[in-house]
Amino acid sequence: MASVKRAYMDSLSKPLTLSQKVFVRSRKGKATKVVQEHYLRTDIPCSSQLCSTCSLNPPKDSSGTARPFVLSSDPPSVKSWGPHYLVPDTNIYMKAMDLLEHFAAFYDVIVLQTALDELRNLSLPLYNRLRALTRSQEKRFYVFHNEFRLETFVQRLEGETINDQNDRAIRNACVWYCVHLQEAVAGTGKSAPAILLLSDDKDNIKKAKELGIVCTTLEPYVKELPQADTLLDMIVVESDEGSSGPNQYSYPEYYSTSRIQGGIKEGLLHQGILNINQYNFLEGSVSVAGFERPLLILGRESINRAMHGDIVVIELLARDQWKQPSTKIIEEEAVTKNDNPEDDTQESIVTAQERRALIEEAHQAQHSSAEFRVQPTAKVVGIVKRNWRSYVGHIDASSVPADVASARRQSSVFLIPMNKCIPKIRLRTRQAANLLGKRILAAVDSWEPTSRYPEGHFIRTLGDIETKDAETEALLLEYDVQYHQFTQAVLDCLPKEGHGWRVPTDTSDPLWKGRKDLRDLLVCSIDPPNCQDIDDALHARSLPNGNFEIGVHIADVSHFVKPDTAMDTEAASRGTTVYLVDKRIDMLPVLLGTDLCSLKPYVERFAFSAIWEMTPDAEIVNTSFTKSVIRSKEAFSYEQAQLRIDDKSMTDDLTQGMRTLLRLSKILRQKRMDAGALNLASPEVKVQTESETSDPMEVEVKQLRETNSLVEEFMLLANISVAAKIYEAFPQSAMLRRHAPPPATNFEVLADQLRVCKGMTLRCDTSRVLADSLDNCADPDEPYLNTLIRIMATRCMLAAEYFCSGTMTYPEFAHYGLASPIYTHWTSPIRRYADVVAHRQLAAAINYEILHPSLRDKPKLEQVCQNINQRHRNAQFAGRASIEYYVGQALKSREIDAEGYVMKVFSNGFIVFVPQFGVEGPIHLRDLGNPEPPCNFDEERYTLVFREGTDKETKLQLFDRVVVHVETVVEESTGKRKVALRLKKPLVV
Amino acid sequence: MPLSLTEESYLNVSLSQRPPCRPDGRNHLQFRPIDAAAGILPTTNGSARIRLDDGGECIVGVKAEVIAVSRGSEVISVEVDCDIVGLPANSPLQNLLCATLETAIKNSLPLRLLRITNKYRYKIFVDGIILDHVSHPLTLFSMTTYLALLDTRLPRLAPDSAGRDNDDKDDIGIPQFSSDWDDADRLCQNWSPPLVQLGIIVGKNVFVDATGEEAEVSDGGLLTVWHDGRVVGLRVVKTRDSSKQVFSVSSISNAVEVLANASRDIEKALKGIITY
Repeated sequence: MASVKRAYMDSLSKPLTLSQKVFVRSRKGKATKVVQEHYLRTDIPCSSQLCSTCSLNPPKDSSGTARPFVLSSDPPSVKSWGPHYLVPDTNIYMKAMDLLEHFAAFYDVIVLQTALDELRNLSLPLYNRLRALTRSQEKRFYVFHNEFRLETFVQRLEGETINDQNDRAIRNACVWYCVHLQEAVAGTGKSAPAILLLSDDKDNIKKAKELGIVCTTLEPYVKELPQADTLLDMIVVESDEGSSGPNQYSYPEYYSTSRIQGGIKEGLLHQGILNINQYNFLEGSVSVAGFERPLLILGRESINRAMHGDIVVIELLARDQWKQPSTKIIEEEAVTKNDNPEDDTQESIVTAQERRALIEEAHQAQHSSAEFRVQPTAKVVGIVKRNWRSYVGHIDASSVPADVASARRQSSVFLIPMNKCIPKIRLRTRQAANLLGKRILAAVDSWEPTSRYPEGHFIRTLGDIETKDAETEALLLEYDVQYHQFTQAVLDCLPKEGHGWRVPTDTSDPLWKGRKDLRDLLVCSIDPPNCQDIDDALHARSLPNGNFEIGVHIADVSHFVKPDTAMDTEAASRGTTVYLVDKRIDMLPVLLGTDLCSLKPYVERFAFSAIWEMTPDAEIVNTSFTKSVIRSKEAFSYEQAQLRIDDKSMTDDLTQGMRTLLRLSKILRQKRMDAGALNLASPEVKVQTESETSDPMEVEVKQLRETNSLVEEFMLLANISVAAKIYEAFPQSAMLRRHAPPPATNFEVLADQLRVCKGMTLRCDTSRVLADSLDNCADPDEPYLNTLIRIMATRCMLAAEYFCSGTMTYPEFAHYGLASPIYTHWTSPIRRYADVVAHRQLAAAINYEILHPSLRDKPKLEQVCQNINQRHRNAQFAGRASIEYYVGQALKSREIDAEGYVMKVFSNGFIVFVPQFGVEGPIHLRDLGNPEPPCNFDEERYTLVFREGTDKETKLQLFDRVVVHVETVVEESTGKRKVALRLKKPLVV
Repeated sequence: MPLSLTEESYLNVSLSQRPPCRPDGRNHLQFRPIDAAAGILPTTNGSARIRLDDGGECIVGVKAEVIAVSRGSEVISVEVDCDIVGLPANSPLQNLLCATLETAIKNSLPLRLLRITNKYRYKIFVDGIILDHVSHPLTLFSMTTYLALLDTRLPRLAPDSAGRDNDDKDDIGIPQFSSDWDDADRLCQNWSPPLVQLGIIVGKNVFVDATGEEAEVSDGGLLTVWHDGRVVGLRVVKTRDSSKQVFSVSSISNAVEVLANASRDIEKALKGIITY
């Protein structure tokens, strides 16, 4: 009340210095009137380096420093307007964020607070991008808080809408800037740059002209810039409402926000993330709390403009519309081949072909007797959060107008995203002809109910399809891997000595405090060949009492990466190192990763050691952790280590230690297996590249040696020991890793397939039972079958995840796959951020240092976990995609026959897995003969019987061994070179 | 300070005269000057303050809250509360003030004005404080409440919110409101709040805005509830311990007539403060 009186009194006596903003906050159905007051200041600077008045007394922050002035004294110039500072209106941020981010233009921009606030209300992602621009210094974006400056503050007029008030505020600020800069340069002989208001709001432009403000709309301005054609393409496509003509069909409108919120609250609607089936773009599923199985979303109309990864709100369909999941391979390319991107009037949302595909499925659903197959279906009625990002793809050649003349002007073309779960995107471009055959990055702008495809705009070209650089960058972008160079701020955190950094020779040096001198131990590291970032090293020696001392030594990354530094923030955001076939995207700068932290042989390195005393039966007597200094005696590859252990003539202590390690590791492994740890498999192949050009030469299946599992066992042991220790020390905030038991329903299909086809039983009550039944699923005639089943079982599992111990109860900590009650990641701090956190927590747990407050902060740790889980997943996908690409390249211009196994059977084809190359691919019946050979699909027996030509019937069942012809073709739909399989002959067992 | 017997008798006689003679020279329908302002509490939906010449001061804030109601419920939710500085909570005077105003508002406020959707409705809270009073605070409180209600606005549904066009069959929509406060609807666009008026009766005369001394020598008091251009309720109140409880029909109808005239004038004056 006091403030009210004050504001009132002030408004009478002198110019307003306290302003009030009143609005209604509508949340959870409540309407709250909110009043915000702020003081109007006169010291908010214009931030132009031309201005000497503002720089006299700039406002200072709490540490007494003033921000440097941002806007250049020599801003860029264009023909019509000369040198100028840009003042974009809110609609420009909405339409042209990609342009603003472009390096070629848009420097010296004044971001008005009014526009920034408006943008935040309209689109949070765009707001964040603009904020990032204002933080980076190279583009010279300055946020001018016009609403806090006395001269530029505008009071709302009687009957004025908020929009009009904001527009007036923007014009007002332009006028102020003009006058202010004129005054600033007066007498200096320099001329003030123009203040150019950029707006696509006709009314605003008109009123600005009346005030004498220099202003223009976006297009004429962009046309004067260098690279205008590229830049024009990057403008967001505006959807002209009502202009698309009298469409007979359209997607259903989404429910209103209020109805969606109410519906979710009442449990009538459900919310979840939409996943599109990679084999069938017309089928999506949403996992929803309260339903055992994901709900199916079938058909374009039900998916209703939602895209893969969006958080959607769905409504169940009536029971008679419930269906079983599709048994067909449906690719968007095949169904929608003839669409014309320019033609919007004739299109119906559901084509007859799609309708037919749906009806066919509906029939099968009714005939199927297997009860568990009919699943509830639902439709999308609203979208909570779009997961739109930039998509990599290529232009559909058939959508580009053939004649050169029309290819010049702006035309609509389709972008086919690399990710099959994303629909085609309609782009408007002036450079259609130039973009053919290129990898292209594009963004989605909107998806109107009347448009069959989403509208988007071009961002940039990555290069020609199938060139290594373009493809590598494409997959880094697709999996959101941060591959930019480390910034100077990060590099500044590195030790000044650079590669010359050494462990201090003087053991009384403060860096030695709390460190054990383990330089005499016979430590060695075992890693893949040519490994540079050596995280871990091991040692073993026998003790006088007959027991053994085993040590695991891990690179002491947390010594170099301190919490809350630029390097720490960057590492946390990258989360993990990403390994591609020919490239490594590091989490930490290379100086640390491959030199200072890396436990290289023959040099002294800081380490974090876990040391156990074990009986000869591998029973742990004693565990201790310490920071240490080690000197690795040798860095082995798995193969070298294996050879050395096997070489009977070697009897030195190091080799003996390795033999001890191997023997104990086998006992540890057996114990783990007895406890119910799973031995899962994933198809792993390795691409040999030529060392010079890194062109792929050979594809080989990864070999696993005993030494692989030697290292693995001790790392597991170390991780488990550390997990227990940090959980004991920090029960609320320990960084742990869990693997939840998969719901039984995940295995239903696989279990049924095995029962029907092979007469085998698969049970999954506990991990122990599952492990045993997996062991039993073996066929002496088919040695690979067991591995195949393990691969398929792995796909039924849930993903392991990092979490913060305070967010779960102890029984939930369990790691299902490892059959361990508690687990963490501690052994690879060079390449995983979770390990860095675990290192810091362990160092605090052994009283080596004080725990940094950020590691006690549960919400912050949860954020870290969420990010690294996501990064971790993406890194795996990116690695796999890289292998896939190189396998394609390695097999280019080669044709091989190879053995494969049927992994999935559809009514119009099947999926074959080829272990030799670790690839799987579809074989369509339509490719086996023209016309498509008649077939008989027995869904319950997973068999497909078809007649090829005049031959006798061929019968294929799931898990059957077949010989396929392997060649590579450039897949039309994704532009990827992919392995294409052709059926040679089924192998009759 | 209580009046002496002589003073009381003198005052009583002068007020009973026809025409009466009030100590401050006012006629029987005349109010002392008041100082009224609306919209003084920015965080409320509506507010007002009235100060009297004798130092009496009252502030009222109106808050509207969204509540869920079962379909077809006809109960109007209004709560009136008033603190009187210097008196304990639940004093008879406070109860009289709150109960009178609450009943008066409930009886006159149409349900449709509070409707948001079929399932959601506004509940109105009227909170007052009487900072000081020398004479009976009922009229003061009623006038301030009247002004605060005139000032009250209720947030409007956002254009895309369900329930607006009755298309929400299931009634599941949670209302979304327009964020622009200037967009909010006036509660009193098509409705006038009730106005309670207390008059004192001395002999055959009736006086409005009685001072403390005048009330002290009166025969008793009468309150009327004025709404929509007529008196819709009345009640006899004690103005002092020895107040008369029974009045003749003619003196009551006389009093009602006088108070109706006064109410009409006050309503006009208060409405003049707020311009729509």
